[in-house]
Amino acid sequence: MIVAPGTTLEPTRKVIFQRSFVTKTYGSDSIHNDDYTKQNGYPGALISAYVLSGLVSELLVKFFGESWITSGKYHLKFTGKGLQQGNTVNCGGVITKVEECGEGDRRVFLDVWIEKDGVRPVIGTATGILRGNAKSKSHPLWSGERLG
Amino acid sequence: MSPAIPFDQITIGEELGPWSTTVTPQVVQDYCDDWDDHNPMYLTGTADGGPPIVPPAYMAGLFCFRLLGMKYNAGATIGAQTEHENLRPVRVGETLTAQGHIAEKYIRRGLEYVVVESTVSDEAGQVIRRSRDHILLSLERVPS
Repeated sequence: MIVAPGTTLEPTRKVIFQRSFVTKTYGSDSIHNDDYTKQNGYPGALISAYVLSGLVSELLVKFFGESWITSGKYHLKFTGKGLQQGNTVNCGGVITKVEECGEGDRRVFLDVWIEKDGVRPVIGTATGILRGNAKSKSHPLWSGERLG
Repeated sequence: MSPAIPFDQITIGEELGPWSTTVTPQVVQDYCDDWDDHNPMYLTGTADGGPPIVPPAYMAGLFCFRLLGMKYNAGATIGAQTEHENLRPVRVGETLTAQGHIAEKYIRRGLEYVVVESTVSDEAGQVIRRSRDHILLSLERVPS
């Protein structure tokens, strides 16, 4: 993959699932309550920010690898009618900027999103360090010190 | 306006938490199943021979609601924006502790929001993630 502005990440296609929708009943004023959200103009109970964050995170782990866990930052905004249980979505991203940061490492900036039927109820930005190959081998995610 | 959380009584700087949870192997398995994200790093170990690590988005965008819910009835709240900075890996089996504070509050288009800034720490007290979440308190608008 060419790491340059304009390059699109390979999207992940997912069926949204929120376990708590199956295991618990939400209150009558909760956005996770189907009736309440429909009364307020939504297609149905809204999926939580947590579930959507996890979908975007998966995309970014695939791109950055383990360095995402020590260098990744992302900011997501939830807009429009949200997303519902069972929706099929595409999670995507495009590189907007690349900065060399020494020893073969590059800081990569992206726009990211979750899309359903051509609409993006989740939009945001992300950045992380893409490690040079040699460095990634000599800088393990875990150190003996950390493991104790 | 939120019938459950009195917007006027929320104070900037108000401390929230701490709130802790242990990330068991079963919890991680459930995460991997629910997100259909079975990265071996979470289930069998890292590429450098390290132990399984907790998915970096574990509880991201959820800890803030747990923290707010310790003080207020947060049952009607909604995530509007979520922002996270990953700092360190954490081993499966560890207990994570979140704490935070109310950083801002504002009204936009008749809707009430608070901004919760929080950190999550591992058992050694090292911060593994910093977060900032904009939370809509309710779909009920402030009377104009």
